[in-house]
Amino acid sequence: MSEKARRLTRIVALIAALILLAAACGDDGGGETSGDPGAGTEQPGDLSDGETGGDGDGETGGDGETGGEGDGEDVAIDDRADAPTGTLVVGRAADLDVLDPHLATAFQSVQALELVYDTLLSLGPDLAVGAGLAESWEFSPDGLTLTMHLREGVLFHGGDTFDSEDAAASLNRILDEETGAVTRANIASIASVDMPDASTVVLNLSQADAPILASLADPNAAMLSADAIAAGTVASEPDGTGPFVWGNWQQGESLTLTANVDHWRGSPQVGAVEIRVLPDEASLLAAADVGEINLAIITDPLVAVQAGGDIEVLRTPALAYHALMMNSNREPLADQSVRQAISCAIDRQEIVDSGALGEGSITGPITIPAYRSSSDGLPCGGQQDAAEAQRLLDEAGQGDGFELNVIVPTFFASAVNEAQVIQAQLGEVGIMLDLEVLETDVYVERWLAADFDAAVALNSGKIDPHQMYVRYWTSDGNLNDVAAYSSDTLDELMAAGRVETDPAARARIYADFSAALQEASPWIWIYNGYEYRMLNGIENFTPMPTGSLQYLREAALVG
Amino acid sequence: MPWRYVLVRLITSVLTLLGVALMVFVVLRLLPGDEITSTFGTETGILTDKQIESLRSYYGVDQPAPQQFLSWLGNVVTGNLGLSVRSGTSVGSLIRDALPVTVELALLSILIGLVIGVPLGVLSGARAGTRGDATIQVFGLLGLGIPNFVIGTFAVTLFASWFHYFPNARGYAAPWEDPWLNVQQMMFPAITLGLALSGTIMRTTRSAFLETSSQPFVRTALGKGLSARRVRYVHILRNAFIPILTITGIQFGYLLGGTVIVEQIFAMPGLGRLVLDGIGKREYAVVQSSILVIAGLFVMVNMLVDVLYARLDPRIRYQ
Repeated sequence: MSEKARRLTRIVALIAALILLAAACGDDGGGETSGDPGAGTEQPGDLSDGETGGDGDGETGGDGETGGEGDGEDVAIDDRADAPTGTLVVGRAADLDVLDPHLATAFQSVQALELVYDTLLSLGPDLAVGAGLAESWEFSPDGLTLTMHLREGVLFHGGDTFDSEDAAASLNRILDEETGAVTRANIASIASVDMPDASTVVLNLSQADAPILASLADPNAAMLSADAIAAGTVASEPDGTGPFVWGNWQQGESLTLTANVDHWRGSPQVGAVEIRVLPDEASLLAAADVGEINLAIITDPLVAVQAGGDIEVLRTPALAYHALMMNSNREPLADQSVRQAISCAIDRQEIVDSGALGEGSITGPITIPAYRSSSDGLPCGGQQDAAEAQRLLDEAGQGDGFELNVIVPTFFASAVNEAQVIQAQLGEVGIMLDLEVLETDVYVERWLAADFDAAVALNSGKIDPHQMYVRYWTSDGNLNDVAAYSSDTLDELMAAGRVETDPAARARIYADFSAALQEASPWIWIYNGYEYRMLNGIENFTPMPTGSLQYLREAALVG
Repeated sequence: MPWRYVLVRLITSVLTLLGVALMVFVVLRLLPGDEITSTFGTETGILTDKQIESLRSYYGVDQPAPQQFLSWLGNVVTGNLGLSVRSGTSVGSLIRDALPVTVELALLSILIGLVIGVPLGVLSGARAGTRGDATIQVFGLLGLGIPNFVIGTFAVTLFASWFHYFPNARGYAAPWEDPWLNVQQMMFPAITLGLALSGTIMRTTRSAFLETSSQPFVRTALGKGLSARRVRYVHILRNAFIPILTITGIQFGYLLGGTVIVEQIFAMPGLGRLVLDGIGKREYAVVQSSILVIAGLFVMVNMLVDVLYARLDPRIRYQ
């Protein structure tokens, strides 16, 4: 019996250890400080500095297979003579987790689903809003009505015709709280949707809302078929109007999408796209190196810098930003001078260099290329100045220093390094940081409850500054309790940006907003890193500032 | 083997599994977060109360815990292992896909571990105290000491960048689809795991061998004029096999759930990864059912080991 008892103990201990271990290192990306699609990102302007990977190493290799070979597992495609052929293989570390495009927030889900679905409007490589399933659109003079003229003759993959009924049903599904769609907050100004005819939808808005155009171009506002919504098949049988047709999904292994040769933008250049999961990024890089993967998505800078051989590296600034969030509801951080002192005591460049191998550039609050923040308003001009920091602390009566509890997440590779660099820098002026490194779900829980003095964070960016910050920096924003700071100035600027439709005027509003925010320093914005796309045997792929893979619709295999 | 014994074993096995199921259920509920926070992360803060309420019912976490447990258990008993709500896939089919991968990997690893470990253990035991023994012992310690993610990552990087060879990059191929590719894909992970195992097996073999060697029957056998080699491999090894079998059984059980890291590195879609993903996403049904299957196999392997004891050593009788 004692042997049996021992064995039982062993089983129990094994399982307990397994669960704890898995919970501790389980970072499937779903918990990013923003499961938002807008975060992963690259900037087209920076395409030029994507280097062709390092020195050609002498390849001893015998039979290195070339990418896109297809391994005879090519999917059955249209048998027309001009139908594209070949399978383009995309590799990444995580599989998609939700098939319902209105519920999907993890990057890996959005990246796959937006190939299958279209949206009313779409984003260009520079994030400019353009036509999508709506060919044209106009606001009424008072800005309270948005009329959209839909493209005709567009078919769902299942065969139904897309019309205003589908558009209205999709928008209403997002607006319905029962659905649980995160993007609801972005289009909540829609009071009702009218369908004057089959190719027109009219959105009646409760208030003027310029950024709603960007929200309608967000993949989370995907257009579904009204029949699929009624039948309840959205979560299990993806059926969109997009450039690729949902094919075979081996959960956790691979997803195969076939070309929609009848897509209204024209047929894709490849017969199919296979999205393959290799959970370990070093292995992913190796797979791109041997040519088995044409496009590898890497997030860890420590892995990305090792790329070499035949790999072409696209390295583009992310919209997501690294920041030190402070809780201004707590003493002594409630004092603006103290927050400014912390801002002065920090050397942002050193954090990028020591914490993330220099893989990133210093940024202010807004990382969207068209609105990118300057260093206006930053205390000490954004330079490290320990003397000024000490003076500000003395002024606030905190000259002897104090202690702060800092929560540090584990869902991005450089978090702990960054926290330690900040700890050392603030230690110089007598501010002692007590670092609490937390597993993702614990971190999220503490973060949502604003249960911290400060938090090291990687936050997703959005395609529009209003979307990006209305939740934090307006006094009635959903996450204003977490942001723990508001002011009349910020409220007014946010309200002005919402109704302003002139791009130049909007840019000025957000420049002022950014300067006001940096001066008040409720958070310290540090840098934005890069999104990496490792290419091998693929051409004509345009990365997006959102991390989107939508230009796979134009990409072709080389050779 | 008397029926009474079998019956008792079966009953205790069922109780063990029930205990495992209950414990897994409780531990999962104790972990912070749920399927909603793990899906939405900090975006959860954007959801309205009503949205959260409806998502809770969608993911089936709105019921009281005991009711969740009983309805899951009730389903399991009738053969329904639950549903991965996010993907709309049944947990049964997820496990059906993952189980063969893990079992194949575990068997191959054990095989490699035994093939390397047993002969080395015998050699080492027969030369106890010599330089050869010390060398083998160092090898054993290295096998035990070097984490498999180091060996695995090293193998991937080395073969990929020097020889442009990384079969696992081509997407997992089941043995019945493409046997040759499957063998290539299994080779590296099995060697990685097998090397570590061989260390354990070698050390167990060595100490069992030494213990058995000191018994009188060995002296008798040698005294009868049998060759040292014959005594070593037939008489001593056979008598030393019980502890080796025990450790192999335990290690096999461990491999069913414990190959996560190697599965990650080599992109093998096995049970360990299924459980890990499930925990990360707080997909309770996936984790509960997968672990139940792993525990069930563990129990079965243990029973098998007990049966083998009796076959190997006729002195062992079960009452």
